[in-house]
Amino acid sequence: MKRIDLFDEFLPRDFKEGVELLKAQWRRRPLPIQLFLLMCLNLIIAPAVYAAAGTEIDRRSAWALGMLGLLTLGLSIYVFVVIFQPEHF
Amino acid sequence: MWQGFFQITLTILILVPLVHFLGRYMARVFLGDKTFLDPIMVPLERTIYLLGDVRYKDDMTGWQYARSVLLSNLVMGILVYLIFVLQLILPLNPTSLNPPSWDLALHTAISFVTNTNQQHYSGETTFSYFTQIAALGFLMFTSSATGLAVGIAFIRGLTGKLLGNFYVDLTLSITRILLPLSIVGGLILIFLGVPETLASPETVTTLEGAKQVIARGPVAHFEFIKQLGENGGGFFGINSAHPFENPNSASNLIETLAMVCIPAALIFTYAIFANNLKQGWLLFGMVFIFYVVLIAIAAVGEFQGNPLVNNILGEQQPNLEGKEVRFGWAQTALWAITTTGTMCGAVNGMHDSLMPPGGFSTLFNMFLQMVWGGQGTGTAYLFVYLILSVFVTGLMVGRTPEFLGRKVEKREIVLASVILLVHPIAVLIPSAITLAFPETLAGISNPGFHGISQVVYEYTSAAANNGSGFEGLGDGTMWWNLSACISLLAGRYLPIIALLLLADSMAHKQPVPETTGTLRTDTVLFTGVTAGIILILGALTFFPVLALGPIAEAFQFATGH
Amino acid sequence: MTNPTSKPRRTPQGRRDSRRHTPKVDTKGLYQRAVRESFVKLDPRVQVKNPVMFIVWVGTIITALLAIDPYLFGAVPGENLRLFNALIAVILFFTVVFANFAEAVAQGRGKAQADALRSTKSDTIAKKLLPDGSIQEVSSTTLRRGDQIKVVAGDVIPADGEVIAGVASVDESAITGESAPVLKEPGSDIASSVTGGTKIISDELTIRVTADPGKGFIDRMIALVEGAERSKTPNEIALTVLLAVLTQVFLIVVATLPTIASYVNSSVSVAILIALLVALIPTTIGGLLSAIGIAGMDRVAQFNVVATSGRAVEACGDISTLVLDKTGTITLGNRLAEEFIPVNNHSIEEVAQVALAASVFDETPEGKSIVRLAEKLGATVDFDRSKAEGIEFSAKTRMSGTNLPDGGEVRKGAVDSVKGFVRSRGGQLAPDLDQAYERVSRLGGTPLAVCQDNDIYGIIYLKDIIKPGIRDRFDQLRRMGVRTVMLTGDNRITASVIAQEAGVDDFIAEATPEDKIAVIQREQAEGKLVAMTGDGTNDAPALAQANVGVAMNSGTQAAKEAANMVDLDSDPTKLIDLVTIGKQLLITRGALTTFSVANDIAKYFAIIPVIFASAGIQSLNIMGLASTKSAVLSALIYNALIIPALIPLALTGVKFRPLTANQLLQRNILIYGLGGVIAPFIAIKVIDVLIASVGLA
Repeated sequence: MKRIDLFDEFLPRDFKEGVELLKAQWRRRPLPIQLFLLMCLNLIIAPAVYAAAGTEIDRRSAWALGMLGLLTLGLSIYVFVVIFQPEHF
Repeated sequence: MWQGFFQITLTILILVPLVHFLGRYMARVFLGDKTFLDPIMVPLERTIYLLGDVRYKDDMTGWQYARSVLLSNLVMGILVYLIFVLQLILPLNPTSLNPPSWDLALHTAISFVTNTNQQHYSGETTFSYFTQIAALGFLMFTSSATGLAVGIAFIRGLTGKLLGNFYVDLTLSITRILLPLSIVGGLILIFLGVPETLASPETVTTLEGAKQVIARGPVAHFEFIKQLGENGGGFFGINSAHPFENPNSASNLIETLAMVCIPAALIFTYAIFANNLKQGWLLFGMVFIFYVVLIAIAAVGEFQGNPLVNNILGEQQPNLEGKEVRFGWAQTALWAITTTGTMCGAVNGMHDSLMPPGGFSTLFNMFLQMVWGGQGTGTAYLFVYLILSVFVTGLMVGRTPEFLGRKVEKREIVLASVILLVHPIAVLIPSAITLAFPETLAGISNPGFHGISQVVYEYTSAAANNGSGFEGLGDGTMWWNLSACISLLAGRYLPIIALLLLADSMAHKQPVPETTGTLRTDTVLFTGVTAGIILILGALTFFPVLALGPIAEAFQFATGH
Repeated sequence: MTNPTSKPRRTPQGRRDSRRHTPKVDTKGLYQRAVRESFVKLDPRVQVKNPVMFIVWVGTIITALLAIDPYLFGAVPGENLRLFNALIAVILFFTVVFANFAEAVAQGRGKAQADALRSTKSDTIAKKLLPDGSIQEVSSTTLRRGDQIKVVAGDVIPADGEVIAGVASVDESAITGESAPVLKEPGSDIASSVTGGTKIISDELTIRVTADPGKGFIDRMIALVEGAERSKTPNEIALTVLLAVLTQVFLIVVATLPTIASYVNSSVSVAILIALLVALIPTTIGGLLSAIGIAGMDRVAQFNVVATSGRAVEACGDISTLVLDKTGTITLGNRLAEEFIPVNNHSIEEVAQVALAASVFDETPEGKSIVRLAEKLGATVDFDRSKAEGIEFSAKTRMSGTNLPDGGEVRKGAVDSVKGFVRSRGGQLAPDLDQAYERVSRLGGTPLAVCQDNDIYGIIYLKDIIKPGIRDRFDQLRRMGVRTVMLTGDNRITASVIAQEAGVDDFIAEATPEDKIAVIQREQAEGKLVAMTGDGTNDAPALAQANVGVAMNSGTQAAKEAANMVDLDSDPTKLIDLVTIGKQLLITRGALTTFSVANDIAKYFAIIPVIFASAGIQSLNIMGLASTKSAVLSALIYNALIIPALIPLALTGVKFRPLTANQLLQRNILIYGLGGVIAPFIAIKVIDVLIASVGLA
């Protein structure tokens, strides 16, 4: 059966190159790329926060709160890692 | 007033010798000693082992034990779920009750498998007699026996014995403890006026000439195992407040004792396993003091009544809102503390109507989970707290901490931590999410601080496998059904797995002989320190929600708003 | 040859004599360096290793952002938010810095200790002996295990090793502080091992190197006290888990609080939530935990003991049995001849004469003391020494003596052995021999029989002197729950007398080296942790078997390698101090943890009532704090200041008293538990009053 490469067939080359660039950068310098992806993820979360909070906050605060939520989640996962693998700390 | 306190005192005075006796009996059962039921039960048990292909002489490791618990509970859960959805085509459905919605069925199945019996429905108008007997009644025995088996396995591990075989412990729990006691208790309840019939509801014409349908059914046996097994799922929607479940003070006394007897007795069972009666009495004393203090807080709160109402009346009256007059403030307060302490979850009054001290005490009970605690698991939680206390105090005497001569090391702390962490996660996170969307999700009937108590109570009840409801909450929605399921499962099985692994690792430790450098755990000092650590850990974790819930409400009442 | 990574050269003659017990290590600039270090340690890659402090560190950054823009996370009521948030950020920042400072001071002290040690260790030129017998000059860092080197008078011995040829005196003061030079020669149990960094002052030695560079035990000690390669001990790991769990619980509590609070319209600002979180997580113990561990290692080093791992030091606190050699530990090393007891109708002068004859070749202190006593009684050597032959003591024969030029054989030794010797020569046993033997034994002395050929002349009473004060120390140990077992080659009666006088709990008489292992294994089978000291090669298996094996620095290389600690002063009683240090380490951790958690009660009462004032729970503000801001700030300031306030305690350790476990618990719970509940109430109130009077908030 012939494999259809989604990237080649349907997506513009620029996008594919962009993804490859990200992958390459991830290997070289993981932290900035992780932060970048986290902010991308926050683009989904922030509108949800904005919607939930109603009229009380503006878009910028919603974005900041989304980041804060992700940060808290990250810290919580980090502390779980400490709990289960305390030898590394 | 004195009558009320007399009722409370009498109940807890009967409790002490009763649990002492029962604890010894349970130890004999699980140590494999001779008991008077042997002639009848041994052949029965052997047949069950033969039919179930149980290698009853083989001990299990912690993982095997946990796997058996999970597997058997999964099978039971699926079976019961099928009965729910198929109840229309199954027999004994005289009023042709339709099956519940899928999410309610799922919530109910999980809730009963986990020995929680949180009910988002009214029993008499939702489930047929067959469902009540075969599905719910069945789970009331097995889920309770599961908890008891885990508790016994934990005690075995802690005292350096092999964990035993889950299927054997499950069987023994039912044949030697739950079933015999239920038969006796059920008969007494029938004698006291609780119905036991398969006849369909009676339609009567009242004195006023109106027609009324009086629900009835096979209640007596259901009622007793509901209490004894810390199940709490009532035959009727209003649970043990219903005159057919709990007709009078005598039945109330028996049902209260039934709730507390097994969890309290397990402390003595432990003492016999550990061969240390002194520690048994000390631990019993410690939990007993917690119990009595919480009863006192709740009872005094109810007795003093609502200051707002009292201001209108011009005199002090006990708070009787949401209470059965035949029980009054005292028996309701005693019951409320007992049912939340033992994770039974049956109610004989509306907890929503308790005064803030009662709301505080019932919540606090479910936060601590060890004021007697759930069937089997409650005693285990008590020992998890003890292990944590041993760890901190053990360091303070300059040795690697030991409990019963076994070193408490990283693995044990990790496992105890998991148990400690599950509760705040399963209570606080869903509560926060629900309260973030009060209009869409919560369905709170009484806004303000009381609303916080309602929501937190619901999840705490689920995570602690208690099952009682603060009520007043529109909890039959899909959000409540499904989110409570997560708390139920997390609150039941994560601790059980951790407890069994903890027991397993303790069992395989080389015991260290005791010297004067060893910290003795059977002293008043150590027990007092443990009590302090339990209070501090419980209080520190839940102080903010308590402050915003019942404490704020109490100040609100006090200032007269 | 140069080694680019080697440390700057230092003269081998460092401050050597100053480093005994009170290490006058260079503390000048210690605090300045520590301050600098504590800022360097702000690197997130360092902070991430300490979970509690990492959370504070992240909190600092968020509050700093909030100081720049107080409305970052939406509108918040109140005035002067910038200042308030900036104050929180600064306090949090200093909380982290203080914790770093605690660690830096502990490490700095360790480093100073290590530097003093390192001064003995330098990149010297070694004369490597090639297989063809020629000598090549190489850098000492290139030496490998198994290489052979030659050292001559004036050289610094470049590596740990074993003497294989030559006799020389060596100045070991650099590591032991003992100024008298030590004789080193091959073959002998004790005297054949040399330590890198010591100096040979006469003659020359051929040495086989026994440790690769960086693996010698000075290197191990340096690594340990510097805290560089410090791996966490088991209890420290378990405690880390507990602290992480508490952190996790409070993280969940605080993260879920805003939505619950906003439901009753008492929303809380993010800055205050962070402040609450930091106040609740166990920052006190979290900040001091590593300092406590490093300081513990440092204390061991100050006792002139090299521990190969922190685990071993911690295990010292758990020891329930000490296996001790009688000689040198319980009694002063040398037994002296006290009296000659004639038997078999011999006169005392005859006994003296034979005893002298049997001891002329005996170089041991006992032998010399016999010679001295005999000469005092008028005995003289009446044979030609050069024609006689000395018979060395061996563990098998348990006798020594002299073969006289005229063919006569004089022997002295354990009574049983001498009896056997006499019987083998066809002699009769004297009836009063056993009587004399028993008399000496009952006095706690060691009886030695002397004979010539088939005739037993008498008994030499060797007197054992129990070290002064040893009984008290054993009493202390017993109270701590440590059992002592004395091992001795003496007969049962002697052993029991000495055991009773010294106050040991148990003794093994007529012990062989194998008995040591057997005793240790028996105790371990009961679940006990056993510590022992040893110096000889035949102690090595027992040292390895014991949970804590302390080798004497004067001992053989094999013993040192098998042990997990080496005592540079070769003082076997030091084991008792090590038990105390191990316990102190654990107690300090436990006490500060309790204190840290107990503090939370006051912090809750300070912060929760004021931030939820709109919920009407002000009555819980039992300290009567002035305002929301001052309450939050004073709780945080207390939280930050308690860390430097406890640094001295963390470094010196909680004072340990030899009490039973229950007494200790009672004491420590009272001080650190109850004190931890009450102290912050007072301190926070005081800080609050100060803040209010300054008008800061």
